Amino acid sequence: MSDITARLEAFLAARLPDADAVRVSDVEAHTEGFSAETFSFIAEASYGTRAERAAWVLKREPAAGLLEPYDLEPEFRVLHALSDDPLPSPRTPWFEADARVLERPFYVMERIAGEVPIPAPGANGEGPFVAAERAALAPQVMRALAALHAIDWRARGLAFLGAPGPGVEAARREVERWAARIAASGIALEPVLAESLGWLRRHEPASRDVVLLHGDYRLGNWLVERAGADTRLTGLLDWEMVHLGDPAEDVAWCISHLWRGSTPRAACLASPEELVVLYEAASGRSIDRAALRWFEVLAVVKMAAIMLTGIRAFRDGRTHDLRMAIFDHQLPYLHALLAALRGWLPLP
Amino acid sequence: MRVSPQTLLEGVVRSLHDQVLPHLESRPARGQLWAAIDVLRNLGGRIEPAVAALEEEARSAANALGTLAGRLRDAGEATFAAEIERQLAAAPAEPGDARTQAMRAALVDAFARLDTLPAESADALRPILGGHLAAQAVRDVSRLQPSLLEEISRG
Repeated sequence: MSDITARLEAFLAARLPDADAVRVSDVEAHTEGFSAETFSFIAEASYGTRAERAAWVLKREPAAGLLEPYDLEPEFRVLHALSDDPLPSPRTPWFEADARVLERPFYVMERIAGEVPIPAPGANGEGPFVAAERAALAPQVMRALAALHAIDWRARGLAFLGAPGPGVEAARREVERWAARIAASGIALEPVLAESLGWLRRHEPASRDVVLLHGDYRLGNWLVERAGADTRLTGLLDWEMVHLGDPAEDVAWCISHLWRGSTPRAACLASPEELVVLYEAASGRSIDRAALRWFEVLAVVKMAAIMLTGIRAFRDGRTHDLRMAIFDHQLPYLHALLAALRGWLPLP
Repeated sequence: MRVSPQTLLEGVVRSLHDQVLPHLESRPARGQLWAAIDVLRNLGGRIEPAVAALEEEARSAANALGTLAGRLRDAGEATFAAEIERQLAAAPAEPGDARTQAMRAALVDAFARLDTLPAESADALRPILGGHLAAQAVRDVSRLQPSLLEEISRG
């Protein structure tokens, strides 16, 4: 798509009718994400003698990927509704469903300063943060999660996401959502996944609250500005799995073994229990530890479902992204983690 | 194995050809890359399935299922036991992917049937299969090379 700059200029000119001209530059495709396609660009809009320059990020539905079938509109509607919220989510003004504009639907959001640390051991095995950064970030990420969960989703017009009913419905809906994705991959069900799904179905926890969940709240989706003890969480990214459900789901995903980068710390920040306590203090909500364990098992099942979707897309030739193929040899780690969480193996 | 080595090799060839080669300007480097692509295109037919690993998994699964069938029979669950024994007998005898797939399917089926038993009985029997899950997970992980995911994520 060599003419993306011209297309973006035409798109923005239509969205900024008061501007005399809109110039787009520095369009860059980003490869970090495994799901939606991401481009960054600079837009300069002139209004007479005045010019406004802003950095933007565009997210476009991929042809195939880990969360297919794609629909970016719910994610856009949530981000748009939260644009003026103090939560560090990017201001997100525009969505375009017309595939004639950029071949597939996309939305545009403000570019936020910061880097995206990833859950990896790093050169010294300590993970992506030094001690001062960990001490600064841990309370911030749990406060931000508590703030997200405190949002009145009904008042913000987010009921379209579909609220689960009382009791075990939130838990049940998630198990069945991911079981259906595993089945849709068409790849034979692994015994360890079958056993885990059976356990999840036998032990669905009842939910006390239904809140707005990010769905992918974890290290790797946080924008951070490093400054020692003044390190700041500047943005929350990748809202593709946003939905309504039990708050323990986001907490469990956040503290999952999946994002510990071979360190002993959840999210490479602090012990899992410390993060949960920070969340409880910030939210004023107690997290039932048995329910948390349940959602931790669900987290690994969910990750397996995502990987199987990517593997299938690669196997079918719908994506040529080799990073989908590596999930074929990443899955055994998830199987081992599931076996451990289910008590068949010692936990790492 | 969810993706065959041949499909993986085709993907590597496609990625190198379509996404790496166009960005490589050094002539010696392009020569090396063309040669790598040529090697990979001809490698698929020379790769043999890792039969020993598949057979080890199948044997472990068959042992676990056989033990479960015996315990079920002792507990008066003859129909369930007979179904497991039928599946074991029907599995392809030849070591390889088909036999291992049949064992995995039998395990999945056994877990589903265990869920229909009274909770106390099922809880007592699941560890028989859980032992196989644990051993298989360890075997699978031990065969992998350390992941380059950190470098892949950084691009």
